[in-house]
Amino acid sequence: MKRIPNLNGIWLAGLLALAAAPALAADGLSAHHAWVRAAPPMARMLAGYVTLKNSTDQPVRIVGAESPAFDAVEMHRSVIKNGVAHMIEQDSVTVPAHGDFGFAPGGYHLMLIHPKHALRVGDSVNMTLRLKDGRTVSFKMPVRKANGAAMPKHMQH
Amino acid sequence: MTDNNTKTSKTTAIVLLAVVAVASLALGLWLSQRLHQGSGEAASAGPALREGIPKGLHATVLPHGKPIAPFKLTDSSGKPFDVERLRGKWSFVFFGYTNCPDVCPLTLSILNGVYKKLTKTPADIANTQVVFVSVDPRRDTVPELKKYVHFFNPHFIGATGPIKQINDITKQFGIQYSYTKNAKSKAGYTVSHSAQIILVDPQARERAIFSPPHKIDKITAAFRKIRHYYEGS
Repeated sequence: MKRIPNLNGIWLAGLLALAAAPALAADGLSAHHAWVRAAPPMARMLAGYVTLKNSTDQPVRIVGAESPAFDAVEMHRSVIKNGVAHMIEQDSVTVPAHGDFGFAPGGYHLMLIHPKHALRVGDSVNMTLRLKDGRTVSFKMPVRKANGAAMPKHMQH
Repeated sequence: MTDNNTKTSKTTAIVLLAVVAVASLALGLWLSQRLHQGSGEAASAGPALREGIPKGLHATVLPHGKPIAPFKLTDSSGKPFDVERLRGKWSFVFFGYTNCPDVCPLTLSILNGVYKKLTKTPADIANTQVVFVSVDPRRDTVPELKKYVHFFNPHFIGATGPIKQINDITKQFGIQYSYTKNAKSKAGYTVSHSAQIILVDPQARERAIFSPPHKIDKITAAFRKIRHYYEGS
């Protein structure tokens, strides 16, 4: 665990501080453009999306997620096979070294199971991801509507 | 030489097969056209639609449309939703379930995007409806289905019914669905379901299929072309 930040890190941190998107860097892993898809008030199942960036030399494995706003959070992947959409639970996902990993609509997503109270656009929830090595990364996820066309792009400002 | 000969005979066989295939396809199309002309017109509402298919679309268009046999569901207002509700309108039909966190909201948002775009041209939005059929009637009650679809667009219609009645419509469209129980997951069971959007024409015939991944612009453009083509506008 190197504690000495390099210049790139400082520059990136500065950029992140300037960006409106809430992000929290923990030992080289940062969360960007996190959001929860606004759902009808009765929805028992929601989805959250986020792009994770790993600025370290080692891949980072995410093995779990939790949020005080939901009974449970699971990592799932939507897969369309022969025209049929399936959801497959993921035990872990890996953010490659010096790379990123996207939870994005129609693919990997954080399945937000049984919200403790209805969420509206403008609310935000806390999310914590658990890493294989026991560390965690936490960030806020604002609730917003998506019109399907506006897929979050990496590092879009 | 032997190689060449083998190739030639293979080529000949392929050409012959192709000719036979094209001929049978043509015969099939001609027959189905005859059949549809015989049976379709009496039951159909509105003016006859043009034949053939428009070219260059991001959709699979059925040249003659496939007439939809009777089915009986209940819509999100509690009214019967049957084949008559498809007559006189262009209908986008999508199948899913409300406990679906990703693909269904994504698709309904896209359909809302299509709907909004069509609203800009009154002729295209007139007599156009969007129907979301829940294939999870155990969890999706009519009142819940209403709240769900109206969240995406208050004009959208939700529909469901007992499994047997759902199957009366899914089978016709070749829509598959199945329930998967994952003991580890707290999500209860999840539902795998076909992700295509079906376009039904105003004579209640399956007219086109949009396959995922869905894009607002592509669906909107294809729908406009299809509608203008068949309505001759």
